[in-house]
Amino acid sequence: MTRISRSSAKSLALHATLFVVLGFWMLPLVYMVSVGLRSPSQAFDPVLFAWPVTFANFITVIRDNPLTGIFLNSLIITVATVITVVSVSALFAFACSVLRLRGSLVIYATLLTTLMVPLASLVLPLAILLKTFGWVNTYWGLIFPYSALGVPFAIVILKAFMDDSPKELFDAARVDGCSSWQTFWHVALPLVRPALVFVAIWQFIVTWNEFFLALIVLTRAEMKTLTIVPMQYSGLYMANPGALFAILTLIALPLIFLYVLVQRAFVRGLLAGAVKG
Amino acid sequence: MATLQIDNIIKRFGTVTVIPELSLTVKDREFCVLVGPSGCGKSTLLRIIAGLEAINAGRLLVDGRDVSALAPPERGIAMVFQSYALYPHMDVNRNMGFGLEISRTPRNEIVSRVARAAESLHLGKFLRRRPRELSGGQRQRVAIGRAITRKPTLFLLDEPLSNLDAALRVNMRVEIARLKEELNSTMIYVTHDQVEAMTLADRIVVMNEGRIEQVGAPLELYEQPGNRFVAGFLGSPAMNFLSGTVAQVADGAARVDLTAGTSVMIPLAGRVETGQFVELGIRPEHIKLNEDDDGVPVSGRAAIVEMLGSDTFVHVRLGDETIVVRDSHGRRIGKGLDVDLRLPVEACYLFDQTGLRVSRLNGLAEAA
Ligand SMILES: Nc1ncnc2c1ncn2[C@@H]1O[C@H](COP(=O)(O)OP(=O)(O)OP(=O)(O)O)[C@@H](O)[C@H]1O
Ligand SMILES: [Mg+2]
Repeated sequence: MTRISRSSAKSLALHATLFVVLGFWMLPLVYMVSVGLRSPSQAFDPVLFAWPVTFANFITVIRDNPLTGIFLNSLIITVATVITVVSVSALFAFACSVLRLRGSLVIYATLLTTLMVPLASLVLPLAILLKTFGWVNTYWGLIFPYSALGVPFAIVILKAFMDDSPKELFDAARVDGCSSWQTFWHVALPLVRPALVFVAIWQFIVTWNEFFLALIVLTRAEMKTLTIVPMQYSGLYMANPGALFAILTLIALPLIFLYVLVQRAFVRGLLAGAVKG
Repeated sequence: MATLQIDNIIKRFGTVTVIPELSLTVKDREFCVLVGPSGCGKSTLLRIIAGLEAINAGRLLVDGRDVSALAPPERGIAMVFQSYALYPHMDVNRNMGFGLEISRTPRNEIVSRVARAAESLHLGKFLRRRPRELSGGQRQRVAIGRAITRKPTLFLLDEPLSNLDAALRVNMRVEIARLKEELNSTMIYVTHDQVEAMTLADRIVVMNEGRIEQVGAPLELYEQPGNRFVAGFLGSPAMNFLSGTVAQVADGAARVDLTAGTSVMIPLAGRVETGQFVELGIRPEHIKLNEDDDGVPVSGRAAIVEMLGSDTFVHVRLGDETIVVRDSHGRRIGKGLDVDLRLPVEACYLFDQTGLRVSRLNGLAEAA
């Protein structure tokens, strides 16, 4: 065999394997869409696709819920959280890793410990806190806790990236006359851009999908986020599975779009720490 | 256009004292080269001058003005880093103009200064490229270009050529020599390379363990090293040292018995005592190999022979000691053969047990 045909056979085998794995991986997702397209009588048929296809469920969930408003709630909370997390953690990582501000390492170590606290144990104290502040049923009531929970992980990533960047670049910036702010903006941020993209996307996904805290903090219908909507269709007896899966499909769509848009940058962020140069 | 005066500075990192106490004056438009073994504090000193490291005591004066408390740009310095430290996300153009941009220099002024620097460094074709799309030598030139666009009064270079291959290094050395003429700013240059130090410097500062061992013009240091450290540090291959004791002190001369077996009569101006331990230093190029000549005869065995084409370095075993002889006659010298050496007395240096050079009569150092 020539080298070219061998390498193309290898790539064929590789892709075939990946497709099989992908097929298994996609099963639940395909099933989700499929059930969303069924009438209630067919809902539990043990087949992957059931005919005829109906869009009734989608019509129901879109008609029953002010989806635009709910979608906007999700979007506002998620975007605000992402912006807060990225800016706070980038600044902190810079202070810690480049400026080496006194005490920043102690704060860093302290923040790391919060990574080990499960959300469930925080919910009750948080609920009391938010109630005291009057933040129940407000955007802030979710943005602040989400940001606080997201910052430590983001700091770990960004600090590792900044620690890895050549220190002489920051010295060069000082010789060029940069203030700390200018060094941060013109040198540090561009250097860790792949990590910033990764952190932003990661935070977006986590926040968009968060359910538990949103359920507790948002009780008024017009404040709800997307993740809470499916609740009403699940209920004790699985009253309307078609509608449940239709709404789940709708929630997943924006994330899938986002991922398709930025997946290159996301993968680069994942790999950047591993392969240097 | 600046005089730098370093006044009794002390630098500690935690409990480690890197620079115990150091004073140095670099004259206006002087090209001053710092040399010394690895870890002796050359980079630290340069970073202190740049304002990147705080000092624990002492003062830095530029043209008589105390700059110890000033930020790097206010000192009028520019620095070329060993790793070049080019901003990877900016193109060559912006890399060179970034300092001016930060200091809010008008746009057209930036453009014209970058263009001039690019032209003088032959970078015109590369202005739109990112650093990673450049070769090592081109990056090096961008790093220098970035420094000269700021028209510094004090120009600091930390081993700027050490990451280049040998051929490129020779080219860049010539470039830097040209730059030195063009810029007429005061330059402080750190290097490991003997040739760079000898050819570029107006004055060489030899450092060791954070102290200055000696300061002087290149040939002055080469011919009149003040102590054993400087004598051994400058020159490649290094000066040979043979241990011995003073056997007899006569009027204006001393007889030294070498451990290697012979004795040498050296005319001295400085004082030595009978029985004192001394070391005799002689440079490889001054030793005569298999030649009938004046000088103290010693014989030994050629242990290693390095033929470079132009020169041959012969490592000769004399008892427990080895000395290196440089022969430029292109002769073939067989390894393992016995050789006769002559040590010309006027080329011998004498160092006392503390390492200081004992001044002599009619020596090379005194003739210079
Ligand atoms: N930030 C630091 N913290 C602690 N010690 C340091 C620091 N920077 C340098 N040192 C120490 O100071 C000493 C001098 O370092 P410096 O980098 O100035 O040496 P150098 O003469 O430039 O060496 P080289 O020729 O290898 O570049 C070294 O012993 C080094 O370990
Ligand atoms: Mg150094």
